[in-house]
Amino acid sequence: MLASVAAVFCAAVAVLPAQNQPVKRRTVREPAYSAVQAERGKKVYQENCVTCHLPDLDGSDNATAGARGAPLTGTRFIQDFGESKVSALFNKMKRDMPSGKPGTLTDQQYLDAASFVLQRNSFPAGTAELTADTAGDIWIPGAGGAEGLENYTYVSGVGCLYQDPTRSWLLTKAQELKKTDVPAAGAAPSAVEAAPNDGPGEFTFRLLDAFHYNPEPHNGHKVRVSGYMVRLGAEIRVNVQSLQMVAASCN
Amino acid sequence: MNIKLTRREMLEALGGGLGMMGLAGAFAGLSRGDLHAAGLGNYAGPALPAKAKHVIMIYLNGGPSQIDMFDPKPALFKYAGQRPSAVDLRTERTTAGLMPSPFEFKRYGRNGVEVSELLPQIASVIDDVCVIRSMYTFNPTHTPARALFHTGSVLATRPSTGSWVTYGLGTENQNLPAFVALGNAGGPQTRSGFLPSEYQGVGFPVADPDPEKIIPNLRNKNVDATGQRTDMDALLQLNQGYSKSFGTDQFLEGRIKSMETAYRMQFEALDLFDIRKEPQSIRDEYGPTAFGTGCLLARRLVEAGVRFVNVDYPGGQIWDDHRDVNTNLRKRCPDMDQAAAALIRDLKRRGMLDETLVVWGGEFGRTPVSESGSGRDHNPYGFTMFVAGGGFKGGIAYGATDEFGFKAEQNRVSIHDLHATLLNQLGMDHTKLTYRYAGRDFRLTDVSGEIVKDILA
Repeated sequence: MLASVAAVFCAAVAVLPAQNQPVKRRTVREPAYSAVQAERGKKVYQENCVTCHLPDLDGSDNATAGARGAPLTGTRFIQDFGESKVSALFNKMKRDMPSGKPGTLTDQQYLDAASFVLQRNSFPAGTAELTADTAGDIWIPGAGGAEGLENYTYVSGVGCLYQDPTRSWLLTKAQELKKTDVPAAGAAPSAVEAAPNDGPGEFTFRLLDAFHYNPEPHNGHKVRVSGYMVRLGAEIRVNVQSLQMVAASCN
Repeated sequence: MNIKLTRREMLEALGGGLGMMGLAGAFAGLSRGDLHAAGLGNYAGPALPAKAKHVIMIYLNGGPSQIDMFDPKPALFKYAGQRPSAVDLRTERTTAGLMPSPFEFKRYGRNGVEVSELLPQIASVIDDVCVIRSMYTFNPTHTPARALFHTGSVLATRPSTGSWVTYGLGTENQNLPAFVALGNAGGPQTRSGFLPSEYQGVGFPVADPDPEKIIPNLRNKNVDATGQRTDMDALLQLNQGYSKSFGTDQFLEGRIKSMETAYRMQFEALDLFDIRKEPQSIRDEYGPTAFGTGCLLARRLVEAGVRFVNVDYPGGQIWDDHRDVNTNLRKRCPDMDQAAAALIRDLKRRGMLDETLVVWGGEFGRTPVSESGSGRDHNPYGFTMFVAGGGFKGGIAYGATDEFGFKAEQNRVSIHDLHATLLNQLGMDHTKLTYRYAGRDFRLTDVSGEIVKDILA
């Protein structure tokens, strides 16, 4: 009896999320639709969407010709739908498209068209089809830099501290943010380790509340920033909780 | 024998209240002092040193989010998603854990007042702005809270601040309404309540800057001025006959005065309401939006002597961000920020800011806890308003909310306190600006209100 109770207890503990483990979410970087579905979606797109959004999904803004559609690829697509679930794309299509006769396609056609759009944005195809249910669980990632991390995760990142002309503090040339432990209350920030792998990265993060941490002397320095990550649309920002110089140069 | 007449009795003695109409033209161009001497202001209390002559009230209907604009709370990040006991206040709807603002705050002006990235233009004029971060009100629901904001009472019968001010001080321009509401034609913003109906705010739409759309049919294309005067005089005779037979009817008197004002407006209003007469650079500064039109018109109106102008941000209860608050604010703030800042800058450039009191705010603020995952609920416990000009200190943030921005804690300012302070700056003791109705004296501040002296220059 005692053994069985212990087994149940251990099983319960095992399914609890481990403290301080990164909370991963599913994104379209993992296959979320099938190639067959995207092919069906291409046909739907060509019959219903291509006039306004153009064959390459580049979008158009020719109001006089009655053709106006936002780009469905690249930066603009990420701006519009990054950090949204795929269901946002599906619902937008269903609510507003095709232009002038919204809601006239079947749900399956909208899902197929969404799959085609995902494919054209280089998100990989798999074997399972995108459904209305899975669309509500899968995220379209934003501009990048904190892949898979939930809002307000405590993170750390190394990059170049820079104050732009509007006096905003930025962490530029930064590596992807990494989840780290929240320091204990009153604890001094841990010593900055030599960071051979923290070379120049591709990301830029806006830093919130940096002015509380005397950033001016470190303008242009390589620094390590820790704090809470916050998403604003597709953009990722960091609410600074500590700021330490790593090197006096960003090179 | 010392005979003391009330204003109404004096007007009636001059040939009936309605008889004033025929004298209206004679008042055009008289100074405030002359008008006071003529009895057109009703304030009978001690004359306080007035700093302001005019008020422009910018109203953001729905409850703008102070957490995202004026009241930075970095502690929200540490407790994101949690609900510490300190913030477990009752909310109107179901709310969840604390939700930090994703917007960047920077320090501006000589005193380093923190303002968010949503309001870069207001931040640029912060040295002329007094940010009150410790406002609180007494009701969490829009309709009564809106009434409180505008009238000092939750009841739907009380006069608006604009009505009280114009009742107390009268007008500086007989050819225009003393109290104008831009972008809103009714509700507590304009209501005169039990005050005589001549103190009702006159509403004008501003969606289209064409003055013919703002004031349709103002010019009588069929009857010239002389003919209209003849018509008005004939109407006056009929009403005087009515008055002699049935006694004074204040509603009829107010209606006739409104018609008389409308008649006189023909000669001034269309030019005044035509913002196309402004230099393009000024129009650009305010922005090509309905709210920009409202703010620019407000400046033109106070310049012409209108006592009180209410400018509603268009779209009804649009600042009520129960969901998608971040997205909504990023869409809505730019034109509001541009026009509100342009108004302060423009008034200052013209030397009018000292005598014009600009008030900005909504009926309450928003909670630091989330609603619907992406929104914020109503927050009457603590929110932000700002005032500029009119003898208020600039470049300061007064008062403070708690660590999470939920409740006003330091130097709390009630809506009655704000009203009392506004009246003080207009030269009126809020306890002496009264009107007897239903057997007792009423006032804008009801039975409370303290002047917030710390924010006065």
